[in-house]
Amino acid sequence: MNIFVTVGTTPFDQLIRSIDLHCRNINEIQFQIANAEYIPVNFPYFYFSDQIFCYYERADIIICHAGAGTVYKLLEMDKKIIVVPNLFRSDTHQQDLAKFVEINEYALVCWDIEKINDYIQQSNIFVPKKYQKDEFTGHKLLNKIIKELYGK
Amino acid sequence: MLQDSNILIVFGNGGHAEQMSRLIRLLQEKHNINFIAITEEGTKIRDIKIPILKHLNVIPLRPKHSDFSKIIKAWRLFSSFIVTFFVSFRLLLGSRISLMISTGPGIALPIAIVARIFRIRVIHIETWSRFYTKSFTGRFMYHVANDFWIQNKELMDLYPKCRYIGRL
Repeated sequence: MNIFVTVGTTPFDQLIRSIDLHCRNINEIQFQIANAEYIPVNFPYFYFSDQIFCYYERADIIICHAGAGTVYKLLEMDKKIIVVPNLFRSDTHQQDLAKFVEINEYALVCWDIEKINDYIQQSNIFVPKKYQKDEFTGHKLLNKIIKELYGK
Repeated sequence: MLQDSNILIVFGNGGHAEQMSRLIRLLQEKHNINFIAITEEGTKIRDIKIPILKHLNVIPLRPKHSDFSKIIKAWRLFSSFIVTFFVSFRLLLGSRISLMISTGPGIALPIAIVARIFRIRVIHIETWSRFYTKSFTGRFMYHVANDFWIQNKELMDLYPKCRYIGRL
């Protein structure tokens, strides 16, 4: 099993450390750690990558922070993911997205990073619901408004 | 003094920039209008791939890390608000801007107030990462902006006078 862990643009040391220490039974894990202070000891890692889609494609499971951009992208790619909201940040907006994913059963959501290995095991039998989003129509409205305001 | 017609776009780093980038790129019609950007310090403007005529950086409205006392936080909020307000006032005075589009974050607030003073139409697009709770920016922009657009239907209960536009 190939697992890829991504934390986005801000560090999430607690998650990286927990997986690094508790998931020694998994044969292939790679970390994207951002500007982390905790450096993994048991698995390969990098800070950022321009080629992150390659890692996404290769992975059987992706463990990610609850960042909207990342989560939507991965769900649109139909990847099996485990969403881990970063509850250590001062603002709590990752919780909303995590709840949304959980309520709609788009993915497993891990609220306790110490139990991350349980969620990895669970993901073998979890069957996610397909993510579908409504079409975005804001630009059509914007075009109209721009014509009204600028006459162009 | 800015010539031609200009649209003011306001955004910050990360998700805010990504959303603004997607939005502007979807505006396929050229309109022959320039974009003026005010962004939060640290926002990588090159990454968003929109040609921008003029770009101004302002400090974040609220600091990212809040290890400070309430008094210090309140003072920082107040002073960053005032500075951004005056910086925006100077930029918008005499500019040929009729429209401001914001995807947050907090800096959008003082800028939007200046825009409203100059009778510039303000459209705020609430972030795609909020469903069940109000963001700091959204809470206030709901009352300042002319148009408050949401990407998640779940927010309709929190913001009754909004327009749902689907997700970027």
